[in-house]
Amino acid sequence: MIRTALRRSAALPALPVLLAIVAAHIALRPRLWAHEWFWAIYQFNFVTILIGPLLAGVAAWEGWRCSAAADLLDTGAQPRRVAAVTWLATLLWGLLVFVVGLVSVGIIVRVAGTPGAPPLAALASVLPAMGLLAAECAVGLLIGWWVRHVLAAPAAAVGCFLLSLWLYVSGPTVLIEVGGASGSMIGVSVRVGPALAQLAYFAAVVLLAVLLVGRPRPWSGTPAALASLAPAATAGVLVLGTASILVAQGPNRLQPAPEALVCVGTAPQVCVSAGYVRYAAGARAALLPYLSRLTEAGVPVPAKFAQDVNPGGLTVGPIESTLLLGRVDGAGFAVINSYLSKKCPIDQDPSLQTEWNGMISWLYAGSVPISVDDASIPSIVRGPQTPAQLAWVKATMAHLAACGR
Amino acid sequence: MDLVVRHGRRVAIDGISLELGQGIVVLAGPNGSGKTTLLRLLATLRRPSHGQVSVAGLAPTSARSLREIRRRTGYLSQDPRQHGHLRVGEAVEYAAWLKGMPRQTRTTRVLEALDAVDLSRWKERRLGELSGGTRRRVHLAQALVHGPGVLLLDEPTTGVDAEHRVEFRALLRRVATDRLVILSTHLTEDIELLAERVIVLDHGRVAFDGTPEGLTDMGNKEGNKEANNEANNEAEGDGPADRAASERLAQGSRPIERGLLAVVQRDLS
Repeated sequence: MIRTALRRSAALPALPVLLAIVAAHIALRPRLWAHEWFWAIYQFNFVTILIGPLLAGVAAWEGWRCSAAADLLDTGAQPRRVAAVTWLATLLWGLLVFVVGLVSVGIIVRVAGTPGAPPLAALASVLPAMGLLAAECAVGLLIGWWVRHVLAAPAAAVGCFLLSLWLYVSGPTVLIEVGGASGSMIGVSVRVGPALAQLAYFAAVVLLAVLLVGRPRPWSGTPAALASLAPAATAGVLVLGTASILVAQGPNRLQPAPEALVCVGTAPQVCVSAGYVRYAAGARAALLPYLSRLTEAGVPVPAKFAQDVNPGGLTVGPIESTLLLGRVDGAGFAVINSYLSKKCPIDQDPSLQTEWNGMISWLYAGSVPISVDDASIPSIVRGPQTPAQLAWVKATMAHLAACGR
Repeated sequence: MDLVVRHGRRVAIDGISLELGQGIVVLAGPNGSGKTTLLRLLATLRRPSHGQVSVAGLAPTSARSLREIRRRTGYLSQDPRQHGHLRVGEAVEYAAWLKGMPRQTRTTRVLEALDAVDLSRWKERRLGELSGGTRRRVHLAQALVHGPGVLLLDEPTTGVDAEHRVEFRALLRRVATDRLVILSTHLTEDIELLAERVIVLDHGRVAFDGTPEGLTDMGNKEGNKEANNEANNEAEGDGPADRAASERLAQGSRPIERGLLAVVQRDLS
């Protein structure tokens, strides 16, 4: 019956809307991810937050249809299969839309000149995203079945969307977050533990919802009625158990991972991942004037800039994908920031901010106009270059580099 | 203890005992007399507050017997709002699938069921596009498709226009040749033209149980044509006169084992 369920699914009329959402998600946001397979796929996974609630609404419509035919279903011999097939038909259409989007992203990445194929870890990251879609379909089906009203569909869609937002903002995000990244993902990968826990959690939610919808309706109060509740109760325990494990693993779904980089030039050497190689020379050229200024002032400069390192390595500085992709005016910032440890509380320390502003102002003096609050720039930086000024630069850079270490 | 069904405080079935065998059994009675509840009891959609239900010796108290009873019965509810987006053939196949019929036999049985209700040429029409009468025939095909030994039809002729009602009755007579058909109705013609046995319910009690002729005889014995008319109209009306007639006719009822609603047909599979 799956073929009939697919052919007559309420998801079919919703397909254009689902596809439009996916297209908007890809086209209307910056596509800096086009040079990294993992970032591209991980960022695409975020679309589940948008299409998941819509699929929940479609599934709720199907649940309502089923509830309208409850007498027919209840006198049938396989209510669980009915629930499973109805859920699966909705999900398969949703997954088709998801895969179409994923393939489109793959094409964009290839067209951007990123070599190779998507790594297995990147492809595996779509599984929790698909799991989330499956769970939202199941929850929608359950809502439609229980509410037994045509308004169950919009209520399920809006409800799932609001719940997703709430979980993102204030709840345990691991229960809902399956992707989305605003910055480069070179040097990181998905943690296997939370990903598996997410999959188990979504599977348990699906199982619970399908078992509740497909619970055989024997007479209440009989041993058969109680027995029919046992599988759903077990699934409920599984949902709570997997959710607890997931929350206990913490909010961080990512972990550092070695990345194969290609290095260009010397002093500094610029090491980038395969998708950025053609931009490495330009970025190196943009860094050179600022590094030369620091060298003239007697400040030791990083010998290497690489994409997969955290700031503050002293000998190896980080390089942002934005700089590689043409934001060369940010090269001076990249140089200064490469000295700062992540642990340096610069946001909370006004004196550190003054030093940072002074260094930026000194580095960019006479070259690119930058917007730094004049009042916060030390007076020694404002005048012409003097030995005292150079001594200040040297001392300040040493101070900034030591911060947080 | 007699068979009793309560809906909250209201008593829907108030102490009946019945054995049902072969042929067409018509349940008659005014609105709220317990006809639908009785059918839903047999369809395993309701549980009695007291007493037992048995279909071919199976009591629907375990998952297995429940499945078996559902496999052996076909139920057409009073208002089967279902799957208007499906095509006629799909809707009947869906019902066959629900009953657990294997795919190999499903296609053939769907065609047979559609043929039985004379809807083969409507196979590709959407359920939502059909008239009430035609849709009723589709629902009958759904109830028939798995070849049940017992067919439970709740007001099957309601909403069907007069012309199609004649066809529909002929159809019911055809399908009842080898199975037990229990149908509820408001219409006296259904009793006259279909019933082999009539059970008149009133306030959840059996007011009459016998043949249609017996029902007429009871009225004649009263020697009062007015009373006879009242009895015939009872199914359509629900005033005090209907109840009075029911009470008079109750003398003709034949109680069996107390508290048992049983379908005793031997070969139901």
